[in-house]
Amino acid sequence: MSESSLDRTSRALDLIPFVTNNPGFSIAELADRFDSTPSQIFKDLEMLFMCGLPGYSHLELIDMELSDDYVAINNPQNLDLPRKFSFQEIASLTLGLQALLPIAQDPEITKRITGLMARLIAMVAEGERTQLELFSVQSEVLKGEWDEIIATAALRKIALSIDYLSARTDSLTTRTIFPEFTYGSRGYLYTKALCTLSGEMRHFRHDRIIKAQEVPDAIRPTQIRTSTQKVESIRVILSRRNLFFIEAHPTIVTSRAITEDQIEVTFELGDREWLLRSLSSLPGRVEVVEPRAFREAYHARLDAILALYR
Amino acid sequence: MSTTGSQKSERLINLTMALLASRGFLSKSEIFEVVAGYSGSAETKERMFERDKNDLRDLGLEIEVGTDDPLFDDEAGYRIKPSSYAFQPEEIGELDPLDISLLSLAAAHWQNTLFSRSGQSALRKLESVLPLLESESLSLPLISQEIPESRFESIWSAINTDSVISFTYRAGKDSRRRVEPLRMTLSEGFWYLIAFDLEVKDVRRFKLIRIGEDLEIESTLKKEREFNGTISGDITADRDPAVAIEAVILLRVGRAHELRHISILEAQDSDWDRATTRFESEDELFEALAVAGSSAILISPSDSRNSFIAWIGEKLNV
Repeated sequence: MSESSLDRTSRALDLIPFVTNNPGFSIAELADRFDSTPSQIFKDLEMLFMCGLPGYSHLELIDMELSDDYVAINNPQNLDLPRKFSFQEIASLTLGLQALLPIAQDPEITKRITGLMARLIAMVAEGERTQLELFSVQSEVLKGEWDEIIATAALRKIALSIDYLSARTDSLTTRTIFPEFTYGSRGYLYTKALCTLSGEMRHFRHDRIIKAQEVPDAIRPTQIRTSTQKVESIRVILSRRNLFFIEAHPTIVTSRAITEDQIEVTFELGDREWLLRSLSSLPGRVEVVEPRAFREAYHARLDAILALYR
Repeated sequence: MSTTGSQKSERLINLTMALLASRGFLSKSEIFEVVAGYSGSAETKERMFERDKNDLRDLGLEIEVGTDDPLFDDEAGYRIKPSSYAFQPEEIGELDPLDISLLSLAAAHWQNTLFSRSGQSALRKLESVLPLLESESLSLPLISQEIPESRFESIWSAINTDSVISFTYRAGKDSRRRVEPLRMTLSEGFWYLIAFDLEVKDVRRFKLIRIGEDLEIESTLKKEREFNGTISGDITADRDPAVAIEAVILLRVGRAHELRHISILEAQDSDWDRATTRFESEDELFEALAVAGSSAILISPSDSRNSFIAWIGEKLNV
């Protein structure tokens, strides 16, 4: 998509004070920093060579050193400082900080977050402060007993031995994991970690971790396996009240058609056990259209439940 | 970017620098004379300047209009006060590595959205006035979320301009809604719009992801309304109203670990354990039973047991 001259002007106005105060970046590094391409940044800087104060002699133009691997502005004229923060910039940081509040465990961090929020809000023009109050972020996540030990292990790059309730296999296993990072999603905390039991990167939900302890001397495997699960395409008809299910799992939905009373959806995934279990737990109409083998497995699962009550 | 586009950016930057540098107000004729990039007939230059002025205002620059001597009826001039343009480090105060980490995490929260771009540009502005930002390693998790970007931006804009909007809402069934947006909230990974519904004349909550692409921002401005935080009808609810249930369930030994984890357990026989568990609703109970599959049998309440049998039977009879 081509960008507007306004977008380009905005970026150029930000580039000048940034490069002035941080000389020595390469064009590629600036492109990365400004979410642009090296050729675009080069064009921006070339354009800035021609900008300056009225008179436009060499003393009034922006004075710059420009090569692929070194950019510096020796005289930015009167653009040495960035523009003031926009309302949107302040809103982005303030609401982002608001999202961190419920997950911060350390009182010092909480204090810092609220302090930063107050400083940012003070930068908003008085008339716009009420506008900021119209947006709120609630990022509460279910806290678990082992959150802190997992966070510390990820930070210090050490292994943990965990007892984990696997919903996929309905089993309780002990395994050694190397945590990479923790994230929150839909009210739960997860950690992405290298699992030595499977040799794969896996996502562990914190409330399913029954026990965790550090294993400082564990050796991290050098090879990470990729999942060997075969990806299947499964077509299902759901009643409209199950819209929440496809909204919650957008990454496995490859197509969906919503009509007056139903949703026809195609899932693509490798973990058929998870989908079987999830579909059987949905309220309202759930009809597996294809493939046949999956439809039979779904019916067999429901039959087995019903058989317990006969 | 075309040459024309590039010339326009160049002219806008030159105009900004000239208006910032001027101690007094610069009249249009002075601007056309001294700022590079204005050419053509008087009318052409006039049109170019009017567009440029609006563009700079869109970039958030405050262009003052006035005359240097109010006693004389001089031609109006323009200037940008340096104090209204430049971000001064004192505005936010000192930032240490921990503050920087928290601000970076706050900006990273928005993942490829309008807010993400704004957050990143704010960080770059900080980096332009502070020595290169050192951050401290922090172990706070990132919260992932669903942002239907085009609708988010439109609604954000409608809230900020007090405009009425209309859209197709895709919940249990499709319906056309005309609402006055009141506020937006992010909860459990989804954005919601809280708005006064002009048809039902009450406050409703709408899940953004269910708002159709046909969203229209009307020119009608919304009325001033008091909102006390109460939402009388939550049309985002997917579940039946909650009625807590205490259930007794038999769990196959060595299986149904999720249910075991939340239950009080006692041994029944060599094959089954007896679990007592509280659920917030029948929906939640049925979901847990179905997930456990043939490793769980609901014993009581008997009404729920009968309902669950019928619930599974209906699924089989589709």
